[in-house]
Amino acid sequence: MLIPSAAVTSQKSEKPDVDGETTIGETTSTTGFFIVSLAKNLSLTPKQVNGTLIHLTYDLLFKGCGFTCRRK
Amino acid sequence: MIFFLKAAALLAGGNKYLAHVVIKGVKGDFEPIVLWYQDVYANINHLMSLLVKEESPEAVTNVLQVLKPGLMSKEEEVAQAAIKLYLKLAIDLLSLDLMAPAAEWFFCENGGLFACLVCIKRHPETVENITTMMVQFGASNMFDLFTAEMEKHLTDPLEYLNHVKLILRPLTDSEYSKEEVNTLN
Repeated sequence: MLIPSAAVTSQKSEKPDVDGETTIGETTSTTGFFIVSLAKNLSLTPKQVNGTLIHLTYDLLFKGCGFTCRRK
Repeated sequence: MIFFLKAAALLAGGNKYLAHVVIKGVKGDFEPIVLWYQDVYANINHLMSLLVKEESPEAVTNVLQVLKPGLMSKEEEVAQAAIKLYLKLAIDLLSLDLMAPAAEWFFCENGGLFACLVCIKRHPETVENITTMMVQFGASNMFDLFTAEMEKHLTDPLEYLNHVKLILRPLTDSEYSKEEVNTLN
């Protein structure tokens, strides 16, 4: 599934519809639903993902849609 | 936030990263994958409410496509969890009048029917539930489902006949298919 910006951000507020505190029941889009459920169940940790994948995600989610986000 | 970025990465590129993980496991471990499908099942009412809110046929096909790799997993337990989820999804989508985009997804190239046939090939034990799923998603076009549509994916006549042989018994036992035959009559 491609990740269009509208699918992961609220079009009205331009804030991501998931953050570190979001539970599955609080998600507001189907894409957010899957992001949260995957993160929860696959116990993704920084060690398991290489930098390329993170950059790919970052670009897909934010860079390409003009949404500004500062990575920690 | 970083955890969610990585989860989103799994959905990028037409789900190819997610498909890899679901089919081959997380470093060979399939338990997290089964738990993920069970978690989606447990939250299916919320997922349905999001689909209704999004009011988009693409959202329906995207959801079905995200879950599809489970049908092609090397682990039977994952396949069974995915089938259970699809059976419930079919009932809910029908009740919400969202079955048209679901049927479109089912019959499209590399869609649900393709995944069902892969599942039967990898896990013949799943044939009963898979047949029910095929009837549920293909109910709009039952005749073509078991003839032209299956033949598109099973070009080898022997392979086609083997699948028909496997499907025939659960098909004749299926209440869904009996209802469909009665409707045709």
